[in-house]
Amino acid sequence: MKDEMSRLELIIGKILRVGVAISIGLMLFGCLLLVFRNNKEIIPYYSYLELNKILSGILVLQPNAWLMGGLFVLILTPVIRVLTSVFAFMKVKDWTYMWITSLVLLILIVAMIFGISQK
Amino acid sequence: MLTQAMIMLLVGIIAGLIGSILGLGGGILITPALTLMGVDIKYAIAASIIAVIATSSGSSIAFLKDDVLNLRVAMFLEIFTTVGALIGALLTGYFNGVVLYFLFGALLIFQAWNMWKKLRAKNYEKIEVNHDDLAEKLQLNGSYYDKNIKKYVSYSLKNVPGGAAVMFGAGIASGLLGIGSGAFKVMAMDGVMKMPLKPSTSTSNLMMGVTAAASAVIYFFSGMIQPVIAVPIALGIIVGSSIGARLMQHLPAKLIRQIFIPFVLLMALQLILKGLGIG
Repeated sequence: MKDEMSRLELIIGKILRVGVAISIGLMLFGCLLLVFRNNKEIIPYYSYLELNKILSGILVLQPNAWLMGGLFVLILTPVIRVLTSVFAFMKVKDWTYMWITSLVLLILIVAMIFGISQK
Repeated sequence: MLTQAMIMLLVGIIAGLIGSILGLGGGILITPALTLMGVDIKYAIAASIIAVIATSSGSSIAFLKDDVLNLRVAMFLEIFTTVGALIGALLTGYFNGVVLYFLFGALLIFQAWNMWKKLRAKNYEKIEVNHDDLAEKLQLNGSYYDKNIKKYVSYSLKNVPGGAAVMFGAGIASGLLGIGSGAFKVMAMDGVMKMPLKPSTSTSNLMMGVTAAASAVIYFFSGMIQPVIAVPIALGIIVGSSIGARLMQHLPAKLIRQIFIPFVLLMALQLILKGLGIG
């Protein structure tokens, strides 16, 4: 039981590490773009409050799009951690915890939808 | 501009170190530091939510690898914090938070006093053997390897409903007042459920990210999170919390408790001042 649990923790830890690494990469590249901007006009960050705009901004190397993208990935890391945990508990057939984790994920999604609609 | 970014990076490193060791979000340091630097309080709070997530993810990488935290306890208690946070957010318009500031402030003072008592007691970090049906049914009992005393510590929990109730209250506090709830999470695990301090603070760290995620998404899409502030802080925190998560495991539990008490008192003071309408 203990071994299985540590294996789960290792998998979830790896996922978390990948998420944090992607986030750091985006943010650092955004900082580099800011430093070497070659007189390029910088579009302010509040133009990047939608995911599709962030993506298109990343493609045209707008520094703020990269920074906002990095922050967004960072915000998602805990959510992705919960999502991974659902599958991890499913894999070891720990049904009780699969349901508990699914419930947490559901509450989290409801809270986000509620919050964004309240804006 | 660049100097300011450097200062924020440094503030982030310090907040990440302390947050990861104590299982607190680091918001307690970030918000005052930013307001001192002249950042508008709205943006300071939004940046401190990012700080909580960065501390949580940055430190949990090491805590998961070293198997210090308790994943089941985290998942089970997260039900109560997330529901609490949602209810807290729903109540925001209809409820006067002033009473709550005093209530939660008083709770924190009580927690500091409890920790003080634990420090003064003989064999203060003794692991109790508890037989709690609910803890056994939910397989919440666990063990971890303590790098300070160099041995495996097995522990069993008690009073799971009490811990869940504190978590629910902590969730409401964070949803309604926008305060971090790391201190209450440590209180539920270490104080109520009698989990050893190191698994308590590291599990609190893992949970904090989830509690903060929903509000962070809202702040992000409403443009409250300014990259110019949040990015250097987040980068600093990831560095600080990675170091802190490794350092914490080598510290004696007693020392962690000694650092914890003044921080909890500082938080209590912040809350009570807010309740009085100052700061």
